[in-house]
Amino acid sequence: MSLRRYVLRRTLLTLPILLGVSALTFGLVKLLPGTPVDYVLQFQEATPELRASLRAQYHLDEPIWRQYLLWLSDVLRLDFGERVISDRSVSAAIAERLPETLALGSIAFLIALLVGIPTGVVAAVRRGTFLDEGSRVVALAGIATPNFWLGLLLILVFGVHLNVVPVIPPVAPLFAPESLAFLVLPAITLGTASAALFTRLTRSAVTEQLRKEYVRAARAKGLPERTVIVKHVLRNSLISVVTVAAVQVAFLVDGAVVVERVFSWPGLGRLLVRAILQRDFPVVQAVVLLVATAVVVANLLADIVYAWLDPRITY
Amino acid sequence: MPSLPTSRRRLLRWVGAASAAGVAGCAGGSDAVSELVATLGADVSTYDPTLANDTTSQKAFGLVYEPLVSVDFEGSVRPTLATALDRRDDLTWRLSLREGVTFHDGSDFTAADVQATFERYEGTPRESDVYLWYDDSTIRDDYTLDVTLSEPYAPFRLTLGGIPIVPEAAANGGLDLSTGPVGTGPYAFDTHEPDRLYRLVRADDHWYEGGELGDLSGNGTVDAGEVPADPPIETVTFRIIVEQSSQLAALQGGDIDLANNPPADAVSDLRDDDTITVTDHLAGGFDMLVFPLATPPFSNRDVREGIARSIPREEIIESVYGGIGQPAYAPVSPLLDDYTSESFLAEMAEEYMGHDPERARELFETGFATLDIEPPYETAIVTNQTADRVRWAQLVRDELNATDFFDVSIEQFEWNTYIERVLSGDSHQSEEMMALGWSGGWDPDTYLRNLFYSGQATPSCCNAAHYANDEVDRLLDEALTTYDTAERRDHYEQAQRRIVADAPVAFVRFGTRIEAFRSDAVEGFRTYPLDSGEFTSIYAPWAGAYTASGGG
Repeated sequence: MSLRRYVLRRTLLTLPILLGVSALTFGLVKLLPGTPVDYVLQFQEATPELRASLRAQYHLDEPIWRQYLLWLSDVLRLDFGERVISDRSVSAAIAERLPETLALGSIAFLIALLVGIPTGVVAAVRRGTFLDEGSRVVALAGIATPNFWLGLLLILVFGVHLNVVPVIPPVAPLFAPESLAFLVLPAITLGTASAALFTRLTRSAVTEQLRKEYVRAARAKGLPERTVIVKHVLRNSLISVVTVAAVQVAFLVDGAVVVERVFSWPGLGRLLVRAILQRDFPVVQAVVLLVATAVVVANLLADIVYAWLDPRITY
Repeated sequence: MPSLPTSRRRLLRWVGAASAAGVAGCAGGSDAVSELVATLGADVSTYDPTLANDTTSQKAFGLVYEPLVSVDFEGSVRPTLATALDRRDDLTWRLSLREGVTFHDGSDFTAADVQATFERYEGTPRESDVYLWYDDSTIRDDYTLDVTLSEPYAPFRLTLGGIPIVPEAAANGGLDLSTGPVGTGPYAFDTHEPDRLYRLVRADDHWYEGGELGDLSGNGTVDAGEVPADPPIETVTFRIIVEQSSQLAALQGGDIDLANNPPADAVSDLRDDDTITVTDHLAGGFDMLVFPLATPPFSNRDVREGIARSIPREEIIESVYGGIGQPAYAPVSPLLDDYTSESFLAEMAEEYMGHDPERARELFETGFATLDIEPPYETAIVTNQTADRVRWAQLVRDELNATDFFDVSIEQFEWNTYIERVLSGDSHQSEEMMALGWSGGWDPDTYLRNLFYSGQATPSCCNAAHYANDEVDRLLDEALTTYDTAERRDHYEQAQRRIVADAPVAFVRFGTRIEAFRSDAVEGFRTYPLDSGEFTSIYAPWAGAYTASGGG
């Protein structure tokens, strides 16, 4: 099978997965106690007619499978409906916040890779030294530290005590220098656990590669150590890192829910939490579906890159 | 390598800050442009009063829309868009409106706007705000409107204070309130960046031109002589900060000027910070423990009184609320001093509710013996995740467990699950006590009817105990339909006595509002005591209140 056919087949395979995810998302949201009508009418006296008309408005008077099909047909036309509380559309709400979350996630991901991979390589090459042990301790602490705690700590130190950065985002466009400067602390908070994971993963992958015959051969040929590590060992080690990196995309969205709240960053995570609390079902369904799609696509890309990186993989 | 910058503004310059607005925005109200930066704890959901069921949205349009009348800090009805309210008979009120008022979209304010505002509520989630009493209205002329009620309604004038007036065009489709609120208030809507900020700017031609305002409640005219004709603050920016600790950090870091309702356990830290002023005021609401009246042992009055007498209210206020607040022994807030008094509360404490472990033990003995229940009785207190509420519930649990009659645990739920548990139709048959908070308004009916009227038993509304007492129902009905203030006062006192004696709930604490602000940036701010109106004193000529920048 050619690489092209493999890509096509993998891509087609994601469609039933996405369909399953959409059904699961829809069903799980329906399992939450309470309905949008309860939220809209909270503590208000309401006539039965008003209740009935609100139920009809959210299709709650239909059987659940029909609700799902109605929703799915709208979603396929990229219409995510109206929000429950406000009269704005779900798509607009997501569009407003998506760039913010992407910016935060990208910087965090970049920090995680730029810190994690070199540290892992150094730890592997200097195995057993103080550098290796030090990186192990820092990585363990990084994985174990809860995002909200690290975020608040950074805010207290840099925002309140040293007073060198604003505690809340500056009033400026997303790509203005002050916004990007502000993003450093949230991105560090968000990226720490991933960086730690990349460190450990790179370390073990590189260690494993270093034991291989081809490394001995390369060294025997007289290649400089730097070339051996960067050109040969690293490339082979990255295969496993790439797979995990794709899964980390999901963790970054996960973490964004907390980090966006702590740093008052107006992204998708905050939209999602509020939507859950308000039983704003259309928003919850749309955001969860979006995140699930992102994870599925990231995995697809990982598989493709994996195949491309390692020609031995058969498909 | 450049040396580390030592101040925020230096850092911003260092990274090449281009946007002057950005700098002013985060530097707070002490800049040349007078801007007040306050916070909202959640995003604004809607600008339309007929849709808003969250207090954040109501707070956010409180300075943009104005009602016909407003209620000042003491509970007196003051003229806003109406200059007189005359009762023609039991069912008809004539409203005289202020002339020369314009909406922020430039249209003139007339009686047609008022009629359209009222009728716009029909079939909306907030229908009951108006249709509980509204039957019909007739426009007499541009500035006079006769409103007919469906039955006599004593809180009519106060209730008008909760109906923001919108332009007639919003009712007939000529104006879309979903893009921004349009009112007659001292501030006009400027911008809303979802989850980030909500900004208002001073409205150019607000109707108030200085001087005294008339009288609507017989308490004399408002001496608004001190209040300037225009709000001293040009821009009011609300930053949306969900996390309370981030809100406090933003206040201490100087990113915001004013933090509204900081958590009780942060107050002592804030008080230690000499750049920050902390003040607190009594608010309209209370915390309580609700009993499932259909389930033994809670069906027994002695047991209920015993629990009420086990609640260490003083200790709760001291250790949970940092000494802020007032013990509650009856439902009507001391804010409404026409309907309750210190001596009345002291009497209720003495006779029924005051903390008295000795008396509680006697009551438990009698109650458990009557019911033939073998102690300890295993039960729980249901609460949501509000930290302060959980902590007072824990203190009550400890006190009850110390008696050997109870084995109480705490059950915490996420808000919607909690609401479903406590307000579902069978809450009175559960085996748990429920820790609830209640917000009331300026009329005593708002503290009593929803919680203690038999027709308001869950799921209709919020009478979770399913308390039913014909005499209380009658007193509440009569009090609601009589315009005689002395008679109302008497009815409400009788109703409260019966409720406290029956103890379907144990009252715990009257709430407070706390505000913390930067002393050098804010002057004269005072929190309005009701839930959605906290920020109205930024400019409220009807209450003789306004906030200025600077100070200290």
